[in-house]
Amino acid sequence: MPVGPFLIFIFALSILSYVSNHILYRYLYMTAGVTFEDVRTYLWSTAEGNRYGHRSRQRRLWPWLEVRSGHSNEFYTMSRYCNLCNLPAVLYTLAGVAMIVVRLSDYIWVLGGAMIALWAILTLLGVMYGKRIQGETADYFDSSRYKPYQPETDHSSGPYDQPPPPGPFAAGDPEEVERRRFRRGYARNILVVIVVLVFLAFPILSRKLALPTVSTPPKASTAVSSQRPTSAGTSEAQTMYDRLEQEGFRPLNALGQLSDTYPGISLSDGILVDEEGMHLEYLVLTEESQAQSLAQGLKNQLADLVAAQNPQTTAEFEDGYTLYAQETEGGYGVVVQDGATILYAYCPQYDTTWMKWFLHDLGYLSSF
Amino acid sequence: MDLSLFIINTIICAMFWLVGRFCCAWLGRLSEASAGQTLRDVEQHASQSPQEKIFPWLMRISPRPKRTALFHYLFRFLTTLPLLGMVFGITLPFVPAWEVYARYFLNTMFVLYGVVFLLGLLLFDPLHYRWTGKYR
Repeated sequence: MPVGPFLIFIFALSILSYVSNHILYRYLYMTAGVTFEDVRTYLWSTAEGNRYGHRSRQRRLWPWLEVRSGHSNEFYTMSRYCNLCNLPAVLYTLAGVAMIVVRLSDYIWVLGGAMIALWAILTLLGVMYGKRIQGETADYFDSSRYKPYQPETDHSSGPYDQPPPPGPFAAGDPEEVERRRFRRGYARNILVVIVVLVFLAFPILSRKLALPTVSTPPKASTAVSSQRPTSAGTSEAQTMYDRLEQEGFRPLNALGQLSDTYPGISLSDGILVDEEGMHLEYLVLTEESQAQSLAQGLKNQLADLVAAQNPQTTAEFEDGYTLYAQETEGGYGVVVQDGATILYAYCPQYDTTWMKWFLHDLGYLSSF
Repeated sequence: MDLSLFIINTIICAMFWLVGRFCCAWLGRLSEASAGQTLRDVEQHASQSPQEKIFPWLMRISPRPKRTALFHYLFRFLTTLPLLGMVFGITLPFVPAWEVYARYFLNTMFVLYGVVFLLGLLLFDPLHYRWTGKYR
């Protein structure tokens, strides 16, 4: 799962969101008629006795700014820009997870690029609007109307009874403000319902439309993708195919590929397993004489392949079959020639015991 | 005697008894709103005449008493349902065949409280404004 680019873009977009917040919040403070220093003073003066101040910073700051701005339209517009600049990072996180789930992760950098472009556009719009705010509030901050924030030390009179000093912009209609707040709250409720319904509907729809999910097995590797795992033609091969499938492998009917591997040998069937270090070939030849010579060749090949110190070799010549097995510290390899069929397999050390049991179960390895 | 389903049933019902009222609290508040009273009005009345019970007072002053009663009893029913489930659960060790009803009941409760919560998000604000003329 390509998590790397996903995380890199999340990290980049988080930093970009931080940058745009840092730029745009100064303009938001301007619409509320306060400066960065005033905000810092306010937060410090109210942080006393608040053990979780860092968590509720925004929660305390935003209503304060709203009241100081006199619920002016400029404040709401600017705060909307501030929030929108965080939107690309959030959207990217959600959409990126969705893309990984539906296996579209190759295009995740396209999404990341689009979100960075969206962030740039939104921040540019926000800065343009902020510059306008800055121009309109410049005389307010120069005039005597602006007074730096003094923390209230005496709370006995009740801080909520005093009306806030008028901000730089015309105050909004209280009735209109209430209505707007109501509408916004209701819109958020509807959004919550829609999101919940979408999350409930998504698994149902994906099952109905048969969208790929992580639970579907990935496709076979490209090297053998031309051969579909179908049952083989001859009865011996069919038996072996079923047996291997029973053991949890995905055997391939690889007659074409194995004919290319052994030119000059006429095969009537071939099964190939190549999974996690385990390599197993099951060949059904047309002539037994060819099988004998091929088994000899494979035995020599095995000796070269698992070339290691002190191989423990086992050889069995029973009436029906010839077995040659070679065990080293690196792994286990075996060639079994049974009439016109050949079983050729090698596996890493941790599969050795299983392989021996498997051969014994097939009736080849008499003891292990 | 198999106690496992009895224990599971009791735990889940207790959970819903404690948490489920947050999903259907809006029904109780709509009962007050259908009488034209906001939460602040009800609290004011309760502090002025603490002896009087809320629901008879609401029914007396309500311009739509049927809806007031409907929402009130719906709220009472939904907050009592898990307790009924716990009472029903006592039978489970003795009547194993009723296990299937218990499972239906538990599954239904999960869906029911979720749906009630979502309905509250959609219905409460408009109805409250319509009956009281006030935003919350």
